[in-house]
Amino acid sequence: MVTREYELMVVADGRMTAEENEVVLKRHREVIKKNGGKILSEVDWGRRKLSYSINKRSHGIYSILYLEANGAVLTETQKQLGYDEQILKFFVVQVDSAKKAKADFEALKAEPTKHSKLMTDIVGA
Amino acid sequence: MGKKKRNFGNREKTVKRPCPLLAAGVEHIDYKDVELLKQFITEKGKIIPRRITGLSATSQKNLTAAIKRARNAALLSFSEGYLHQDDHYESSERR
Repeated sequence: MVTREYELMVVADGRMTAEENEVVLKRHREVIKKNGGKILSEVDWGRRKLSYSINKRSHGIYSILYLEANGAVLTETQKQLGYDEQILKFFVVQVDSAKKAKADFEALKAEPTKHSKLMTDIVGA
Repeated sequence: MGKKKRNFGNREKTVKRPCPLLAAGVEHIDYKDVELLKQFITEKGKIIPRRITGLSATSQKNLTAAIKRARNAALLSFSEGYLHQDDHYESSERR
């Protein structure tokens, strides 16, 4: 099976502490590794307010994992994530280069409002 | 009756504007870049059409995909300004 690089976003229950979240993530890291996937890197986005409530939760803990995996690994990982009640949302996006995607995200994290005035700058309004 | 000769000479010349995103050097639109995406949605949370944003076809297509991903990740809302089911639940509980 073809191995590609992916970005996995996990939104966990915001009522958990960072340590509890770590326990949840560890479970899923093991699932990935056990099935032959590789975790290239991880970025923690911290606790954020959700735009809409999910399972009556208003906050979520966002984590982004960059993986090198094939289809079978993803199927199993997504299945296990779906079973987990501590996880509100998750999804996988294929990326060309996990290294570049991570660098871009780190830059965005450091300066989240970089593009916030982009349109007004152009229109001049 | 013969066909009237149409005069195209008087028509206002349209000015081609460059795609705002490409002009600003944004080639890859990240779904996590909420501040960027927020500029392309209305107060109700709808995606603003291309004829208003002035984006190139490619940019608008990528933007739409990014907004939809962001909605799924609860970074953006699907709709704004309507009473949500849970909000209603909370307000009725308070009474």
